[in-house]
Amino acid sequence: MIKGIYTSASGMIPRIKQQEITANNIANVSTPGFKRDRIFAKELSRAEVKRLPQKNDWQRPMVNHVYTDYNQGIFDKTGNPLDVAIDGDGMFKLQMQDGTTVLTRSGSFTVNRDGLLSFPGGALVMGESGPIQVGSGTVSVSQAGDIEVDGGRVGKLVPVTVADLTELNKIGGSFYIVPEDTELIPVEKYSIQQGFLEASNVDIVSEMIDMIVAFREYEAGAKSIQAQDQTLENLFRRVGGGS
Amino acid sequence: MIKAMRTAATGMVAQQMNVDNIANNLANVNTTGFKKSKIEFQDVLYQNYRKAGTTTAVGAEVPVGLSIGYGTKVVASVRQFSEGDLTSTGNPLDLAISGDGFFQIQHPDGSIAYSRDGALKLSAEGRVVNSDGYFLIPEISVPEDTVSISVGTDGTVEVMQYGQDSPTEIGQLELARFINPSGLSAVGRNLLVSTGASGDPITDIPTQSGLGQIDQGYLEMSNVKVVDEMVNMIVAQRAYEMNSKAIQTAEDMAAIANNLKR
Repeated sequence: MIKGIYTSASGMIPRIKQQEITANNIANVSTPGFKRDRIFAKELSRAEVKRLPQKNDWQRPMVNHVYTDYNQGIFDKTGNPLDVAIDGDGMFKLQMQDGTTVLTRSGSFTVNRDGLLSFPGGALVMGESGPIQVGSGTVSVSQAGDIEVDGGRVGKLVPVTVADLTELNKIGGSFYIVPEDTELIPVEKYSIQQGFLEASNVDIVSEMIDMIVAFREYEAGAKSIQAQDQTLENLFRRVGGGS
Repeated sequence: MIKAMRTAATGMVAQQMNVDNIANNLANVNTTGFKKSKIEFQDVLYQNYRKAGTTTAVGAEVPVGLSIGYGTKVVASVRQFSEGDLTSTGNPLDLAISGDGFFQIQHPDGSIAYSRDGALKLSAEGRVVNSDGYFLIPEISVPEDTVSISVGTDGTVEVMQYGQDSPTEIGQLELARFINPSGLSAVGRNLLVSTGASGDPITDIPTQSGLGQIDQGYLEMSNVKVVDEMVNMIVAQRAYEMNSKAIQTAEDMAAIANNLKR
């Protein structure tokens, strides 16, 4: 009986996580290059439960993990020459001030005071051969990623990826951090679109549905706890002969 | 539970700022030389509940971690320096720049501000000033007996004086440009000031250094496109609404948890 309450409660917890993830997805509906997160909640099989070190019921029944949906978002035309979007796989490679390499799908670049192509917040955009000096001329980016300033070639944007996208971790600021010793692989099939930004791939309808489903499942868990609570109360009244 | 509410609240705050910005763009749809700006969003911190690669209680390696984000934030309002349409006014002191340059205007406190607004006037002493009476740099003074003023595409200012049969050159306009014009900071009155991010101004005469040419008798209109702004406003409003729904749902879930105990 009491165990049932624990089981119902542990079914409620992943729905809270689900709601938190949905809230984050919705909050980032306007973040360029944002990739939505999805949660997997799975009940442990009996065999898996048996292998668990004995703990209380509370920690047992559910495992969950989050995965990121890397599907491409739609392209928004901005007309800004320093806005670029990748049509295809891969991400832009950036170098933070502390030298860390991060990746991003958001191509809303700017030029820093030294004339280097950079990301809002200061990270430098790394081309095929390091930072890209664009200065103050007219920038044009070809579909292959070649950057020309006033007709002279200054660098090339090459999208990179990793063998296993699940190794990437979001760290905020539209950045993905690559674990150490993970090799960055240049993408072969891509086309760079100048004057466009890739919109967030959050789909409001499916987020709403997820929210409704999570909410109702959560509610069902709560009702189940209440039902068991009521049964217990009846039991105690009858057996105990109370009021 | 509370976290989902705060996460969605960051979304509402950011969208509100987005609408504030759109409202300012729309309010300046008729402002000479106005450059629209755009709000840029980024996601914020992620909390790692479980890291990928660690070992679970069952003994298996976690293939994919569990990290949940804390919402969104506004990182920048980027001014877009695309050129506005030119409109013919026929006024000899209305100047438009076709190119990347800015007029240099002397602020009353002595500092230099930059502007795309070329609706220039003459002060009582004959100096060329902007609509607020701030001096244009470099200084140009028009003689009293001037009949007509002409400004060349390269910024040379010539006047026809009464009784003369050939024009006299009285000055030379200079324009400024920046490596990163988006880093300029707007101070109102159609003026921008340089910041650490914009870099130092590069000044030269028009038509040189990519500054663009001067078109006399024209004004540059605002580059705000009403239809774009309306669409952005609808998107922002809906996104705001969605975020409020996420807060409501989180709140309902909290209420349910609260009501578990009768």
